Amino acid sequence: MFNNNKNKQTAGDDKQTGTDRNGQVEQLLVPDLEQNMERLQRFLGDGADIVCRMLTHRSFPNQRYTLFYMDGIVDGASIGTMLLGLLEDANKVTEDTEGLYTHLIDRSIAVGKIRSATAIEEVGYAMLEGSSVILVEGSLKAILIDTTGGESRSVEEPTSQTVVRGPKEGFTENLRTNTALVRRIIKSPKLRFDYKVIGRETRTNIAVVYLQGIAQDDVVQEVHRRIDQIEIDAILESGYIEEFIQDKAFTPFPLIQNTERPDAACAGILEGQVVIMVSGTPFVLIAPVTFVKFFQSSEDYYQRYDISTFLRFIRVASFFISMLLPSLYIAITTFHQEMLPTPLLISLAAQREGVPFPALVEAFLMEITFEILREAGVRMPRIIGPAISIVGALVLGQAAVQAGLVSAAMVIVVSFTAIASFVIPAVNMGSAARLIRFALMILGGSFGLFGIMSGLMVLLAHMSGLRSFGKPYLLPFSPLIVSNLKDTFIRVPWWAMRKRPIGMSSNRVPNQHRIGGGKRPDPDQEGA
Amino acid sequence: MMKPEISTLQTVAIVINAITPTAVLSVPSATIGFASNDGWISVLIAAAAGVIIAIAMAAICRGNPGLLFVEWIESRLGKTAGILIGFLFGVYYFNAFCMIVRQFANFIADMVLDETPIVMLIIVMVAVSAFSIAHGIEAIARSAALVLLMVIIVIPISIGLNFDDINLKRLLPFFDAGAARIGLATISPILWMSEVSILFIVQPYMKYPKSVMRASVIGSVGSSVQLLVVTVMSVSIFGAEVVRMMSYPLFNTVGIVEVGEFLERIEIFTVSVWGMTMYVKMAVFLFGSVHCFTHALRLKSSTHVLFGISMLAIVTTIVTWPRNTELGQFVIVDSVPFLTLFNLIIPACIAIGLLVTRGKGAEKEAQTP
Repeated sequence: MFNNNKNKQTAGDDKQTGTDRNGQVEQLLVPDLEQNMERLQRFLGDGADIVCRMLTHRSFPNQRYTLFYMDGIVDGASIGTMLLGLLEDANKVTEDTEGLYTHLIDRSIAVGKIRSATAIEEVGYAMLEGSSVILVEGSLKAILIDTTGGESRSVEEPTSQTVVRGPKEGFTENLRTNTALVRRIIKSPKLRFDYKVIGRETRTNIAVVYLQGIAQDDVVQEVHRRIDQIEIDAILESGYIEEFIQDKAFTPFPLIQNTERPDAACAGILEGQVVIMVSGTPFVLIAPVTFVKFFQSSEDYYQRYDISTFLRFIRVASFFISMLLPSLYIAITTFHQEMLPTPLLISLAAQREGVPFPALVEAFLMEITFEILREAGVRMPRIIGPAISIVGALVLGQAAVQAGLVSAAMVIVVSFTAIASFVIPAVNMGSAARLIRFALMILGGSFGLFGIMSGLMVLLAHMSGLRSFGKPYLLPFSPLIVSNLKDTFIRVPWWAMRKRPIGMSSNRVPNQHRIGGGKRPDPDQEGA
Repeated sequence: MMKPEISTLQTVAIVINAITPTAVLSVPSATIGFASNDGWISVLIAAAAGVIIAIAMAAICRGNPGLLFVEWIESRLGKTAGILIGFLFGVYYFNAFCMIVRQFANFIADMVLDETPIVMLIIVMVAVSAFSIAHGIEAIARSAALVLLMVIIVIPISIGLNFDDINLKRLLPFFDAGAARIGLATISPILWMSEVSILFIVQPYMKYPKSVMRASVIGSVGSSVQLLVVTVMSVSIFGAEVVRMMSYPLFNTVGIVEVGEFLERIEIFTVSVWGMTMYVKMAVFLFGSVHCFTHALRLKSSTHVLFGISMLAIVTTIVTWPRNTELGQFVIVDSVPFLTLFNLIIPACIAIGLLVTRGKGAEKEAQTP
């Protein structure tokens, strides 16, 4: 498809420059092929990866043309096909008026997506994105051929969100692959991909994906508005976008979900959420999102509802354990010993007898140690992993207790907290719990359970005020939407979830029904 | 900026949390102190009166065409009256806030943190309340709804755990205290129930302002039910004579619970949930104060008002009641005219003013497209 470039040449002085839609001055192509080639190469910095091939057509022996492309970011097969088409072009020119430029477009180039350009900058940026370019002598337009490709990782199993039952495909760093993965799941004409380019230097491609009629129009518009407002030189990962478009900057809680699972992204799209894909990362963003979503895993919908509900409760409990257990231990052993059964109290007192630090300092020592071990585990080369495990488990755990630096009970508390923090399916929600844990430990160590209660009240007020793209974060609990409770910390069977979540998806009634004639399975009644 | 919207359920939660947290502390002692084992009858009578007050308050609120409280009063009763009433309500909510903070701080100091300086407790409480306010009335309303959910879960559990100790025969004989003492015992709960007047401030933020009547009545009945449960449990577990000697009968009832032989002193969990209701109450009253002062004095930044009032509240709470007994005296005796004036007399004056200026209101509404 051709885009009629609307660039206007500046009147008078310099016929070689014009302005683009944003008012930027740009260099227009001139009839002289040599000059165009030189300007293009100068614009691209004369890199060694620029391939330039000058060709002549048998029907136009006096008119040369040049093929340009960037090696490595183009699809080799497409280039081969195109070259073959150009060189073996046996078509006779039928009309005298037909020029080489039109002939190439209409008859020679055997690649699907082509367009034209009139400015060196446009041509250069297209090449940087993987397009091939043909400059024709005497023509003021260049032909841009979409040959985007090059080496990229193949579709593999996601590393951060594994499941026992469910699809094993994960998103990759290639945007086109990612859009295809979604298209393969949702084969609906209502599925929309709105493309954008962000980043002055990186010119990163972004796709906003949603289901028209299911996603709320105002949410889609708001996503577009916020993305369009981003002004940055580089986008290297979706995290950049996330920080720019989230509703509140200063909060430990994630306000946008991320996933590398196509099925999870599609589930979100089908519930009316908007997915933002960013070229160069397998992690896509999903918005708007509520607090409960971070405790749900795609697998919950693939296995039986009863076990899914049970596991969701386990995850929520783990979140609270991860956030509260060390602070509760500190508060109870420091301020509220009367709450403990006497034998346990005596046992704890005996363990803590030789420990020189108060419980708060002891807990801080252990928690910081664990955080260091955890970070080391992520950053170190995999081959030395076992060494860190030995050092962590034996030296810092057992030896610290034997040396009387910390009590055995504290090691148990910290270990259990650590394990609980890994249960939360969303890593970013786990990170929130990690940060809040330290604040609550200080409150618990200073004011006991009253301090923890005050901290929880602060969290509750804070979370009650949070919004994700205008949607209350604590939906559907506050404000209460009873029908949405079916898929929160519990999951009812699929046949009972007839409607999409109210408030998240479009209000148009026909679109709300997820299950048509689906009813509770009852073979006896069917047979009767 | 979007106008905050509060659902009817959240309004009910605000009303209940504005009444019960402090009421459950003082009402059982007060009613049982006067009416002995007939205290629950006083609470029932107070509940009926509370519903009447709630209906009256809601009826007044329904006259509001959607303006904020001070603006509404100004539009109907004139600028001077608006500023005066706004200022008076600002002072009322400020004083009430200080009283609640001190009650809570005293309780925490008495029950749990006897070595922590009370100043620190007060600072934490005011800071948490101010933090909640900074997130707006919607955040307070949502928090109130979730805290109410916790209360709804905790009450049946508490009754269940105390089931073995409950002896309803301790409520007998009925009407033993005599009508006069039962009547006297209703004053305290009725005054607490009159705090439903917080609806003046909250109603303009409601998503469906016309459902204020429903929210008011349900909130009042919900509060009465809580007070009734606490009073009945206190008497039926300990007997009226013992309850009279208790400072906090509510927590003594849950304090005697023992599950198996390994779980005891679990009243701390009940205290924690009650503490959260206290925080909601503090936030609601601080909001009321900030709201009234900001609009009555036409201040541009409510954030600065919030900061100033919070600082003033810390100092006021510390120096007004140098000894805890003075607070007890204030809550039981001095609060009677205080609550009567602001929750009954001034609203009645507002109602009369609105009736007198009814034509003016209708005219304005007609002018509004």
